[in-house]
Amino acid sequence: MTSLLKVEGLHKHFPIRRGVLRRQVGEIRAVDGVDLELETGETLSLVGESGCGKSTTGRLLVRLLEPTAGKILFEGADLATLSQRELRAKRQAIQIMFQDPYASLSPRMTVQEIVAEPLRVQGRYADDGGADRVRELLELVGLRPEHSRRYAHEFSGGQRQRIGLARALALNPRLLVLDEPVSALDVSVQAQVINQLRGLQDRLGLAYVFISHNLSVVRHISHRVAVMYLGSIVEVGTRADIFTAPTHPYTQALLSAIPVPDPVGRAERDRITLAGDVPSPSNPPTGCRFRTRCWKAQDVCAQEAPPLIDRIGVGHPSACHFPEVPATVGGA
Amino acid sequence: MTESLLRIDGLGVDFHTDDGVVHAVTDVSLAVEAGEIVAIVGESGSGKTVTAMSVLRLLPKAAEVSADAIAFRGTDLRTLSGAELRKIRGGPVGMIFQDPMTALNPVMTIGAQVAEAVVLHQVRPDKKAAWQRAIELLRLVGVPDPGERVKQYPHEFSGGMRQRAMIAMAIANDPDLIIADEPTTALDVTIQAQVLALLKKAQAETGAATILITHDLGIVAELADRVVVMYAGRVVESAGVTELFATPRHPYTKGLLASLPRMDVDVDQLDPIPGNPPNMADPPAGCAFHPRCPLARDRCRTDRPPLLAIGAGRTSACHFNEELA
Amino acid sequence: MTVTAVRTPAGAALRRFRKHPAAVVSVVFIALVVLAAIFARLLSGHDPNAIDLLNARSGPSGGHLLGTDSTGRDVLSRLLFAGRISLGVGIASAAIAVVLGTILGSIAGLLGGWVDGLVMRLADVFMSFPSLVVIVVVAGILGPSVLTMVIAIGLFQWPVCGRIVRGVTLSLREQEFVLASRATGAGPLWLMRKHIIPAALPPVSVVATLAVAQAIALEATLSFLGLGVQPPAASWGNMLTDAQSLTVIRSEPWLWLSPGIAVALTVLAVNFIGDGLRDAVDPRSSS
Repeated sequence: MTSLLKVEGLHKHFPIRRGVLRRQVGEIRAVDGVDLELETGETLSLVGESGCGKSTTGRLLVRLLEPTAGKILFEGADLATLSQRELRAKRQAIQIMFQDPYASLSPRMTVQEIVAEPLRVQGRYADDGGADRVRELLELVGLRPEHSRRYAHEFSGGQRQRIGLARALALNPRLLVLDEPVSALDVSVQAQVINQLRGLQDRLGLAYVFISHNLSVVRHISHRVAVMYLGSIVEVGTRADIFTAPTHPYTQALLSAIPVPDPVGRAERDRITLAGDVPSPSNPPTGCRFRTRCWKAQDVCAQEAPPLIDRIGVGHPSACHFPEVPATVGGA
Repeated sequence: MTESLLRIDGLGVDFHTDDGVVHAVTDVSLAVEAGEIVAIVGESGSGKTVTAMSVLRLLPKAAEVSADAIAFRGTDLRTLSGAELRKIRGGPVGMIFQDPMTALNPVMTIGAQVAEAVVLHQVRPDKKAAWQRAIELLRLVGVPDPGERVKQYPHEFSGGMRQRAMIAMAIANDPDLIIADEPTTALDVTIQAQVLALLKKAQAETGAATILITHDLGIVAELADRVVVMYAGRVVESAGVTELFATPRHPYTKGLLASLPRMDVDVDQLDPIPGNPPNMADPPAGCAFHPRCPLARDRCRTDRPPLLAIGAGRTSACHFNEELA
Repeated sequence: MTVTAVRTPAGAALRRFRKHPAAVVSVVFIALVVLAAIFARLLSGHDPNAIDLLNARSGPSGGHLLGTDSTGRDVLSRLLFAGRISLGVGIASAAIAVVLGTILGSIAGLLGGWVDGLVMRLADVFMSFPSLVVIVVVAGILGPSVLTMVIAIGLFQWPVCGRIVRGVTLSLREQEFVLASRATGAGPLWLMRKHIIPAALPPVSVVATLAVAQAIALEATLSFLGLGVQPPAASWGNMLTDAQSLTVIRSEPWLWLSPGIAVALTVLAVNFIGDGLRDAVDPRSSS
């Protein structure tokens, strides 16, 4: 059986241009060799810090960006080799929802117009039921259809994210890329949207690529998790693999850095505090990219980039020369 | 009873907008004792930042502040002139803002800005000594190679490094109080961990009391001694950090804790607070939380519950807080 | 904090516009000028081109409210009919500038790369030429006519609008709501129609009003120099031609005072409207 989505060797390099002649003086390797696989109804999370390439990967999946190299196979078909018409049809099946509840909705359109836009773009509005379809979509995400004549700025952050979700669902996608969908929301509202997303997944059989820096949310919503650092995946596995048996030092450090909302025993908690900042993706370190901040780094790490493989037989791969399962991690 | 380091009594802040008066903060009282970390928690629009900014008169002109007292070390800050207040800012009271990029001057070197923070509060300004002190402060907050990096501009610093520089400026004059407004919200989680560790260290070394404004209950649990929870411009609960997390006595606090996805607990469904935060131009009558509250009864729709002491060092503004005990 | 009371963006802009007394008065004034131009035939009572040599150069009287010119034509009717041409030239050339600027600006912003470079250099070329000189030369080669003038003025004014639309497009291109639209398969034409033009409309409407004012002034200048509207057709500019002689300026002020005031007040009013619009569509620009 073929996977819903299969990504092989995905690269996206942005040229850096300087001077009057806009000569290329270097490149930012935002995504540098990413492989992913995703099944119907599954949630795969991409986690990592800013600049790790998770959002760029998401935009490549919905073809907002053209990959520099690599293949994106959706339902077995390579998006790059499809004809214009086939691509148009496949593309509708992959949709995206954005982070910012303010910037992601046009201030000049009513909710009705926003949610109807994908249908109109595709010339499907009348065929899909027009206003009735919009009403149905709004109800699906828990909004009152009576509000469809209002403008987006009349809604709160959580409601706006639901409007964005309704728009993303309009074309009946099978895969939804969720780019930090709850990061800008207040905690009390965040949980509503997360529950909504999970409910919709069950009802509609959607697959999610969930992009987030919030590991608590990721742990709650994911089936599988890929941890990214400087454009590539350093560790990937099931939710349990990543959260209870992480073998890559970066994953361990990320998990350990999350503040635990429980003051009891805070003095005794052991933290891995990473030194320094993420290096620039225009000039990444040789060998293993994490070595400049890693407490385990040896000479080999500077010479050889560790491939993403399962070296110690824990059942999931990690890109570290010296992987090990820690005794306890992140309070789990 | 000895005077608190900072005491705010009956603070109210109104904003006059095109759509009428918005009561951003109403009747907020709080006291900060020497050396303690008090967290003010709340969601956007809860008034937590406005409360803290009103202490040093850092609000925009459109804000109308009223209070019975804003006393720092016994001095009512409201009676001070602009010049006197500037002596307090960056002197005995240090400030750390959420976005160090906008809080730092982009055309001045980091060193010049840190040194300026030092010089401004010297009786006899000594620029050379201040520069040396700037280097020393940057070393203290963990900026690598401070001798070189003092000469750099803010855009040459990463977000985490900029926040370190802000902290250096805040602790430059050995403050008694640090006001930190969402100090790590703009940072990545591993950098956040570095900055939180640094804040803890700075607090331990200077012995300064800290007001920590945040929406992140994880950070509260990590750092705070005492917690003040705000909702719709009012304090709804305050307690010691352990008590607050163990037995929240306001349904909003309880709801916030329940709605958090946890690293240590598995649940199938999160337990969100229903509804949306109130529109501050038109807040609900009675208890502002009643439309979202599982305990709400008729009384909550009409009577606003006062903030009452409910035990040692605890307050709650809920008619039915005893049901949560 | 969410403070929401304004129902539509346009409603809010209208409310801010109303706070601008000069702009509101100007709108009324321009409306009257437009109505007067439209109903010129009804209001004037005279044929603007009827020559009456016996009554030439007579001052204001009951029969001719604003007097007559050197060939005895009624100045008031000429003024009203000239209004048609002056406003028409102003609006038509501003329309050319806005349409051209919007199309080229959004294409440049959307496509980027060498297309953007080409369009912007073209704009630079047009902006760095002294427009009056070029128009004088063109009028000299093609012969003066209203159409030549309208096209020439429009061509020289598009870069202002083009730059604004390009700027709006560039900032919009990275906005998440435009990305969302692209992700559903929207092409450049859709983006232009549904997102860029609506967003550019407020700043463009400001430029457009200012362009109208400039075009009216430019028309007056060209016609005054004899390169614009040709007699016997009347325009405010060629009516002023009479004022070229000192005797007329001294002894027959009715000949030049009325078209002069008409041009000055109209240009001023249109500029006031532009200012009011600017404040209305961009609340940050006003204090």
